[in-house]
Amino acid sequence: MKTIISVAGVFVASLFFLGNFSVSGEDLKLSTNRIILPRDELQADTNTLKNLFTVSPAYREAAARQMLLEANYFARQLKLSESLPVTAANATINVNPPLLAGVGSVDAKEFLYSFPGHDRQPITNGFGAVWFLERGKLAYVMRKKPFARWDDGNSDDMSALFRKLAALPCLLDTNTAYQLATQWLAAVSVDVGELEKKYRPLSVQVTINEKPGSWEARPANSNQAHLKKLPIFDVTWGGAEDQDSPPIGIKIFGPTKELISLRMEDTRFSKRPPLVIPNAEALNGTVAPSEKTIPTNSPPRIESE
Amino acid sequence: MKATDKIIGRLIVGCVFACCLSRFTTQTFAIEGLQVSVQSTNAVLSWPSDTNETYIVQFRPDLNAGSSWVTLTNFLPPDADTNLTTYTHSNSVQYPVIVSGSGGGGGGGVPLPGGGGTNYSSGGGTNGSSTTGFYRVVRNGVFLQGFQNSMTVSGTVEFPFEFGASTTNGVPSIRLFINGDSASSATTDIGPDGKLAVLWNTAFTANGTYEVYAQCDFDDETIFSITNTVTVDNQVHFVDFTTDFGEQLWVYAELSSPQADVSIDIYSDDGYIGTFSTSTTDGIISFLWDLTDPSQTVLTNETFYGVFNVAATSAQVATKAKAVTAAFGKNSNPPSFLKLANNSPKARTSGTVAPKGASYVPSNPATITWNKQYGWSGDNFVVAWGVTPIINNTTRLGNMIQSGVVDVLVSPAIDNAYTLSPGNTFNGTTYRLLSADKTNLLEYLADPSYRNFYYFGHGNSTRFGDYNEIAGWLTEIEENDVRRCLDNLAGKSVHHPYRFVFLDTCNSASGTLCEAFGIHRITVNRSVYQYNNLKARAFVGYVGSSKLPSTADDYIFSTAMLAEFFAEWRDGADINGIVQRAKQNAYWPLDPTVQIYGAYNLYRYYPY
Repeated sequence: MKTIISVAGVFVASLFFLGNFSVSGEDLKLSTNRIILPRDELQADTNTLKNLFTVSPAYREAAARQMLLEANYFARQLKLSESLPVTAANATINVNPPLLAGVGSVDAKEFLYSFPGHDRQPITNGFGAVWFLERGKLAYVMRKKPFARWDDGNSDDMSALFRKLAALPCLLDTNTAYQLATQWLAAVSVDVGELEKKYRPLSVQVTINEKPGSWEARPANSNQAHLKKLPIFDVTWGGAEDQDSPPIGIKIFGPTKELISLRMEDTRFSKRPPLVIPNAEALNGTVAPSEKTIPTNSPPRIESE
Repeated sequence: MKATDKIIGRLIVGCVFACCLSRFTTQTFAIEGLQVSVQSTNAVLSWPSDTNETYIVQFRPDLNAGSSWVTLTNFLPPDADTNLTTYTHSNSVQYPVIVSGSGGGGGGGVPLPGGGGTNYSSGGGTNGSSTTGFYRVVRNGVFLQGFQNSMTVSGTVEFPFEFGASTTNGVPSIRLFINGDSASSATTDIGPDGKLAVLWNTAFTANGTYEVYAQCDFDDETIFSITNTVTVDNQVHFVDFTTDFGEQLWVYAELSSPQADVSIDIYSDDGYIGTFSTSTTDGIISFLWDLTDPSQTVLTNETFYGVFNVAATSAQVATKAKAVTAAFGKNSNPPSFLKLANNSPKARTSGTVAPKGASYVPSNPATITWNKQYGWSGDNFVVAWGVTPIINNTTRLGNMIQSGVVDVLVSPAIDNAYTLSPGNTFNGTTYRLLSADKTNLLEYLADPSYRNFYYFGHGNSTRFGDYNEIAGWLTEIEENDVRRCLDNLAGKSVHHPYRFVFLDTCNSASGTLCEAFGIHRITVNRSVYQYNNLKARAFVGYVGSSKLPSTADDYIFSTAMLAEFFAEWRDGADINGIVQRAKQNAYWPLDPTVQIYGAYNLYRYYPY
């Protein structure tokens, strides 16, 4: 049985499922919303169990199309350095089974556009913040290699990279970074007014310790000689980036005023409509799954029973 | 898979034996004073007992390999109103010969070696031809020799242990809990006297009085020792000063004497390096060492350890020199000629070592000094699993990892997807760790292009692999195997840290396995790594036993949970959110003992 399928360029029209539990010929009971069945019902419904891992080509194509539309909307609104339009030809599109995890993600050349939400209700993140990743909403936009021009990609000690970054001219300060961040949020239909009624904004320029020596997240006195500011800004709502996992946070690169990441752990402030896959049940139920086979021409890793 | 009513560990044996065995190996810390007598056709056992203990009594007719111990009673309470408990094995004497014997304990336990039995002393009436067999009595739970209520400890203390459980299901591990928290400064090892023991470096626990107990985790049973009140009293108290950033070593200690002269002898793999001499008026020793030796050579790949020599100068405290080994390395080499003359940097750090909102867990002091870190490239994923035998379920397990992990992480696309280690293919095979594959797996781990790792199987706080309850470890990868293959040897530089490791095995977060992967045994915000010029990294494991699925449905549920876990990781959710949601999974909740070390809120494309 197939779990989660990734597609690039073309949509692979094959289905997979766990051989042990394969059944076929029954209608799938899926919808665009996550279905949570009582455990007893789930146990009794073997077909539904199997379908936890099923993604039909039709559903996959429909979900991918919608994610691509939304990814392109965000890329344009945020003026990202992305090769537009993002298409199935220039991105990897991960589509999750409707009953598992979020809708999926679009892994484009420069950025990842992610729809991870499948929360049914707000949750606390273990450190006091409240999160609510609603299904179908784009929650994360993250540049995959924001410092590639300055990073040789071969260092764990980040000192060399940070020295290069610190030497770059910075076009922002904390105030202008905040302004830019709110403009971006508004551009992607985040209700900034509602957000700031609930969460106080915080704009911080990233600092590093050139003489690190403890597990401190933030210097007590930012004027200490061994501390150095990077041209990177964290604008957050609901807590500081270096103290919590804030419900909404934006990371900005000062030398180019470009987005490094937008992360919405609470998507309720986003007024973008969630993705809806019309006729998802039919789309995901029209194709009968086929038996998954385990190749025998390679050393067996799975023991026969 | 479950084997019940067996006793493992160092077991206590008393015997009634009428044949010609003359002597067993003494097990000095077993129950003392076990007496056995024959009354009519019954064997009557008696032993000194305590009101807060229960006992397992077992019998076997002979010591042949083909025979096994039979449990006569389990959780036998001590006799009331007496300090002697008796147990009668009815109709066990088949021959009219009266035999008596006594012994101080013994072993013969399965599967751990536990000694050979008892000092045998035959009673009158032995005629050399009749026998009733052997008996042994062991306390239920964990018993630490020398572990006493109201005791005061200092330095490194050793508690040889025994344990009695009704199961052998799973690989047991023993941990010491101090006020309810698992103490990473306590490890299970062979003690100086050659016995398996809990070794507790008390210097890493602040002076004070604590409730201390030991816990032993099996797959399906957890047993405990009694809880004792223990006072820790050391001249020097260390915190996790061994964790270093960049090119420095942070030395930090708190002294019980606020005013003291202190010398710290530093050693490396090659021997003595030099001595820092300093004094304090507030009891705090804290400085950064740039790893430069007296000849101005900058040390890079050394193992360091230090010996603190503290001479209190306060009038209120008796002047007393006391040497305490600051265990950031292993004392394996003799001192050499290098001398660091009175180099006493005073770069006092400030603030707390524990960032707000994060739990501070001292690192195992005997393992690491990270003084330099090396290149980091690649983001590939090693995926492997190994469980044997799970009768009729091996295919399900393989498919669970295939569908829950491999197919989620790997993509048929050329770009952007994770590249998995050999043996894992999209909709194809999953890599199962077999005995012959240990070398291969370690080679995959060592490949610098791999920075992520998932393993499902058996394990404990010091190892993971493939385990069989009868044969023991079929394939085991010990912590030091990982350290060696990643060049993250104890006390050495971290050459090959991992970005994300999920060790899906019992008690994988109970020890220092995370550090073998270059992931700090501390839970911090991701920004802490950036602040300290390091790439962020995270480790997910358990501080308890995680359960295997059993029913067909449960295999699907667990697969679903894993699939969600890795889909969220792939799609950029942070580890803490992923774990929180997985713990609330409606079908197969992630085990509640899950523990994150390193950056608790790391996500896949975190830029540092």
